[in-house]
Parts: sequence; structure tokens; C-alpha cells
Amino acid sequence: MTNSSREENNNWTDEKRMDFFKNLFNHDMNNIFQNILSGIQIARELIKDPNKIDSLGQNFNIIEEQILRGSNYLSNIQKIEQIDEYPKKLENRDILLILRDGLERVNILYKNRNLNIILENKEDHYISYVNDLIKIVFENIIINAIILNNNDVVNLVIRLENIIDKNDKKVKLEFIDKANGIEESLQNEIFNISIDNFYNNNRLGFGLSIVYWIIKSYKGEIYIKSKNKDGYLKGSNFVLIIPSN
Amino acid sequence: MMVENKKISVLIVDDEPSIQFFYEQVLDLNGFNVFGIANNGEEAVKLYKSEKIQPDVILMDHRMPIKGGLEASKEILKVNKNAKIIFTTADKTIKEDALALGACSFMDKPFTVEHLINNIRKHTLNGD
Repeated sequence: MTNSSREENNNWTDEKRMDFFKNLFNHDMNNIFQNILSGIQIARELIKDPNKIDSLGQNFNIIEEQILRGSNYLSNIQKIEQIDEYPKKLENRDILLILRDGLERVNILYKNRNLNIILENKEDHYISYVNDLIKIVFENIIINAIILNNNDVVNLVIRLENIIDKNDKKVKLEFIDKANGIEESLQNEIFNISIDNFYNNNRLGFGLSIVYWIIKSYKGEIYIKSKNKDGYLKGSNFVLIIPSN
Repeated sequence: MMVENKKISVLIVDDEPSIQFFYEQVLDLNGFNVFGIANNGEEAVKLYKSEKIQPDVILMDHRMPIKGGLEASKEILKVNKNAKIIFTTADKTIKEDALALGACSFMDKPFTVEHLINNIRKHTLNGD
């Protein structure tokens, strides 16, 4: 790939990229509508049977979650449309504060889910060179962890660490959940998508595609880390590495 | 929504737990048997190859981590060219590819529960 084509692909005004995100947005919104439509139509049947009325609660919870998910996507797509302005606004910010704000918002939105989200930080400050879009990154990863988790309790550990990598200061964040497992040999393939073939990938949904692009715009890294060596990884461990200036 | 049918077994392939949950509910309500649930195409192929008895129908999403629906369907159809694969996806752009490789039906999300049940019946009890 030449430098010019790389610059072109990294250009936030790229029409192809906007089309990609809009198509993905339509795709994921139709999935949301599918959930809502199925949830309501099945509820109509369950309500007729006194023995099955108890299971209605789960349908309502999912419908509510899906509406919140759609609302979050709408907010994301509006910000993407203004994304050209964001690279100009990079500055050193304490991402622990931003993360805490994001967690507060998610806890309010998903108050009907039993969330057990633990923040592990040994230090008081974690400075990274970011912009406002980092809020989208945190919220999308956390919301993704909640939505893809069908356990009664959503356990999520968020671990922060100040690190030095090749003489550069960086912040490492790990989002460790215990939802659906991913086979160990395949787990890194999810984010192993080059800029060249990003538009052709069929692995990432709307939320994580946005996360990928934002982290790449910070010249950061994103990958899934192995938690054990026994076949299937139980849950996902998303790792973000974001440079400081 | 309730329709008569024999115990038809259905393999669910979708990466969203909520959609898996609703498919299970609707299949159970309508007297179908859930053969298994795969979170992605890779799991679906492995499950299909590992079982001696195959599902009557596969509900196949396309956009999934690890391996998509088209690729997984190709591999399943290599094992059994008569496998009944119903694509249930929001990826309208792959409709022609899905039908060309041998899927028996393509359903755009969102679709109604009744449409899903009728489609499963159409491709099992009554053939194509």
C-alpha cells in the first residue's frame, strides 16, 4: 500500500468509508428491529398461556435493551458525520474520568440488567492523546459486552495500566467479560483486518467497527487477548492501547 | 402464529444472543426441536460435521465474527448438498450469492414470526 493510498483510506471524509458505515448502520438497525418485532410477536403468544407469562419479563428486557442500542447507534452516526473535525481536537486527557462518566451513563441506561462492572485502577490518572470520540469507544465496548451477554449477571472487569512501550508512554485498557466464548485459535482474527480489506470484512458490527476506526485514528492498538490455553476462551478480553502525547 | 408441524430440528446460527433467544422461543412455541445453536459460521460447520444426525433446517445469519454465513454454507453444502439452509440476515446485498450457492431461501430482517415458521415448514414438510 502506498503512502498516498494509506492517507486516502485514513481520511475521515472518504465517501467509501461513509457508505460502509451507513450500510453497516442499516444492517444493525434491521437486526434491532428484528429483535423488537420478534419480542412483541412472541409476547402476544406467551401472554395467552398462564404458565408462560413469567417468561415475558425477559422479552420486555430485550426489547428495552434493543431500543437503547438503536438510540446509541443513532447518536454514533450523527457523530461520525462530523468526524472530520475530531482529528483536530486531539489533546491529552485523563481517560479514567471519561471512563467513569461512560460507566455512569451505561448504568442508568441498563438499570434493568444486573451489572457487575469493576474498575481496576492502581493509579489516579491515565493520560492519553484523544478527543471526544473516546466516549463512543468506551460506551460501545461496554454496551456490546452487555448485549452479547445472556447471563443473569453481566460481569465485566475494566483494568487500566500506564505502560511504556518502545520509550513511549501509553495507556492499556482491558475489558474482560464472561459472555460467549471465542475459540482461542480464532480470537485475534476478529480485529486482524487491514485498512485495505476493512470495507470487505463481514466480522464486525456497527459499534465495534466505529471503535476500530477511532482507535486507529489515535494510532492505537486493538486486539483480543487470550485468557487461557484450554480451547475456548470463556468470554472476551478486549485490549486497547492508546498513546499519550 | 401457531402452526402444526412434526418435530422438525433446526440449527440456529447467529451471533446475537437476543436473536438466538427469540428463535428458541418461537421454535419451542411451535413444536420444533432446537438442534443446536452456533455463535458463528465456524461453530456451525464444526457442529454440522460432528453430528451423525443432521438438522432438518439451518437458520443462517451472514455477518458474524470468525466466519460468515456464505462461507459456512459453502462448507456445509459440500458435506451435504441437500442441506436446507434458510438465510436470515439483514445483509440484503448477499441475497443472490446465497441463493446461487444453494440456500433454499433468503429472509431479510426484519421478518415476522409467522413468515419464519411458514418458511421452515415449506422447506421441510412440503419440500421445495
